[in-house]
Amino acid sequence: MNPAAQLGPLNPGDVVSAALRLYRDRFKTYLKLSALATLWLLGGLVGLVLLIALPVAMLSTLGSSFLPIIGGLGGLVLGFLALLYGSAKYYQLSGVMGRLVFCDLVNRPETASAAQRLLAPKLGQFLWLGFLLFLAYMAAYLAASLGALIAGGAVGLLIAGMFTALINGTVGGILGGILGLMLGLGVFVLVLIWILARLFIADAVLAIEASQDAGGSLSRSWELTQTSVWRIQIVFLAAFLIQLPILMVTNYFPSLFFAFLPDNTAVLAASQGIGLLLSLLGSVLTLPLWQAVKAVLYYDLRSRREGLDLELRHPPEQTNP
Amino acid sequence: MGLFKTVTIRTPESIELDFVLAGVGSRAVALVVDYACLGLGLLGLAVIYSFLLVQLLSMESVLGLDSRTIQLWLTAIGSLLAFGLYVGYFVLFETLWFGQTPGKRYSKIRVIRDDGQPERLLQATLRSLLRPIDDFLFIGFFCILLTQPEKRLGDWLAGTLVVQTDPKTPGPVQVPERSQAIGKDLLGLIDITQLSPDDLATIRAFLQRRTTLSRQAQVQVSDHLARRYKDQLGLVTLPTEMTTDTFLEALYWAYQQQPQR
Repeated sequence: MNPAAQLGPLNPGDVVSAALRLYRDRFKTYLKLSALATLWLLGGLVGLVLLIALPVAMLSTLGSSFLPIIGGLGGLVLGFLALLYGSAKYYQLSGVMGRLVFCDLVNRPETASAAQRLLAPKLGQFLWLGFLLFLAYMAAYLAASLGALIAGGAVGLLIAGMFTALINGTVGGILGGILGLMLGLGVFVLVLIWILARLFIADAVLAIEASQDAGGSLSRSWELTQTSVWRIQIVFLAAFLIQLPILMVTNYFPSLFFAFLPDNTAVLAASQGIGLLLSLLGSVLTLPLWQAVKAVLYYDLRSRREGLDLELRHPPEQTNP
Repeated sequence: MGLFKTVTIRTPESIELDFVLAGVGSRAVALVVDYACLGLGLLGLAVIYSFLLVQLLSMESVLGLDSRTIQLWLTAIGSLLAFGLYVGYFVLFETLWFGQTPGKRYSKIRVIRDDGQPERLLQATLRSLLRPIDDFLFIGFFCILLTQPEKRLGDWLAGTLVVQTDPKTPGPVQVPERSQAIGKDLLGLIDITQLSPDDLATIRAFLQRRTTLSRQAQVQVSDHLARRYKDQLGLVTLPTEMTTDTFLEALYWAYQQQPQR
């Protein structure tokens, strides 16, 4: 009998508690993976800068004004490739963390290296998913703005017209403006939150489900989160609250402290450098938490929608989730 | 259960009670909900405060009072009320609802005393008075995270624990008459004791939750479970044609007919 597989659907709070617990149980593994992921992303960025700066610097010693531009452009193309590779590794390693958490949760633990090997062929898919998510967020942003504009504008104008006729133009204008703005803001936030929640677990799906590609993971996330948008919001808020203390130590305190330092270029540069390092540390520490939350949420949603926990109670030999 | 910490409390009557600790996630959820409610209350207070202030100031000449005095008094009363609301919200709810607030009710957790008794006014007050200190710099958060019984400072002082409420055991599953009849037939064919209580729990969980599953999953899980138990019970042929759901219902009903052991 396997106790973890009986967990079944979870409360929003328990999703976060379980995620935190699983993170702490293999803290070193996750921290290593997270540091590696962050280094890859950072490496991509540094690569981009270096690949642009080096050709420009070298070619400008030749005295021509034309060659450095060509060199810079060439460097940009190569540097962009470096950045893409770095981000792909970042997404992939994040996926590895989610996968490890899920495997622990259903009592089929995997080692980090095994998970990395399994997900190695999906590197391109992870990058593609990152790009698709980026597009989706942009679309969400546009849709939310448009919705807000239409709803807020229409209602605002209607109210303004009504009160102008009833009282006078000033009152109508002010009331219409305020109410329209509030409604617009509400619509904007709701639409954005709704779409973000629907796509929240896409990278966990890609990492956990063997046959899934980037597009498939997106639609799977969309399908699984169908009836749970509100619960995901609560999970999101609780996880956000829990990561605050960590960010407080690594991000907010230092920046407050630096604000009181004397105005001096050397001190400023040093404090900026330290601040950057600390905030990197903060994101290294919080990344596994978010990946764990996604993985536990994935388990929760599959139990709710598909009875995953019921099937796992006596796992038949050889089924891969 | 492995993922959540449990405590065992021994009552003076030597009865051992097991509780599952709330966990930092559920407490965070409760906090978010409670602070949202409290924020709404404080907002209402602020609206009333500014409304009264404007009204009283316009009546200044009638009342014959200095406007500064009015403002001072109103602000003092308003601040007292705000503090009262902040502390009183938790004290009142935790006392009246036996250790629960709206947020705790939502996240299905409850405050109890260290000896397992329900929380009273004294404990609620102590917890509430230490709340600002626990909130400051997330001291309470670190205490919950790092101590074995998951207590914040207020919990240590008041001698309380925050635990999960018992999951509501949903009522028995309604089995239609046709499935009951099939269940009766099945009892003649199989040895129902080959099903363990765990198996029954699985079947019951499925029958209770099947309507919330997606259609495809409903069919798939039903088929999966029916096959598994058919094999486990060594059933070669079924008494009649039936759906997998009916088979599971019949098994559930048949199991219930056993004399209590």
